[in-house]
Amino acid sequence: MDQHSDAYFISRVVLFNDQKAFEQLVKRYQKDVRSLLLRLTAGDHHKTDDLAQETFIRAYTYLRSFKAKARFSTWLLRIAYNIFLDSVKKEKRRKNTKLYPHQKSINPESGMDAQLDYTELMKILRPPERAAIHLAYISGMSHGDISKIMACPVGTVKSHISRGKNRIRTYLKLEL
Amino acid sequence: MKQNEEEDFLKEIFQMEDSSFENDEFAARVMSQLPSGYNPIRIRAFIMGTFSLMGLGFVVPALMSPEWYGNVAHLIEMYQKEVVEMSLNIGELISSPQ
Repeated sequence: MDQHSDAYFISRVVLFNDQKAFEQLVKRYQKDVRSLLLRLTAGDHHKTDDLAQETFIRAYTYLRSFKAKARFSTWLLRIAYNIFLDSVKKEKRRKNTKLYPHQKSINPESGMDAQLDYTELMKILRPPERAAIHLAYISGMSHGDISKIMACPVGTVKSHISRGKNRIRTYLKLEL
Repeated sequence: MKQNEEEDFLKEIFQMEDSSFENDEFAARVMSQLPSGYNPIRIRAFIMGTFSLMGLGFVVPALMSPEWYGNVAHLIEMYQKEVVEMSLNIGELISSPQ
């Protein structure tokens, strides 16, 4: 059953409310969704799984509104990204703190001499930068697809990648 | 740093422990939280009507058969693009307020 196309499973879910078919979609895309969310939450596995679960439940609920104009994976990652942004806004309202509470300021003392902690390094990036770099370099997506997921122009995607690389460069004192 | 070195470096930085993301536990967790769906008998009637209106009358006998569920699965495979578009419209129709 798991060799069928996305379209096959989507049809079965929409037409017959076939939860087994939806389970195949979850298994197929859980890694993509959870990987993106893991970077966005700067390595918080617990929060990643909560947000990923919310992503798939929302996808299931709104699958009838999926117009198949973009790939299913793009549509799904866009939901994941929006759910992450919603969670940040909720957190902001609750704590009345800045929009991206995980973002750390760059410490000029840290650099190549310090032991490289990738989770800490992730925190110096703003979430849109984490998302854009992850989707470009780990998922290997085009800037066009990333712009659909992040709902912004291609130029903005390029800016997020460039700014993110600059932050890493400054943090590591490296010439990227 | 050359472009391919830069890409390798960024991949290394962004590589986190996500090997466990292939397991079935997460899928089971999601499935246990899914909301209940709608009545498939009503949907079957909609599908038959819509296929007929689209001039795909030959589909109706397949839907009348006791193995209609399996037959539809095959039809979906054969006419993926058309069926997905149609089924999404039907799904929207069914889920919209009367």
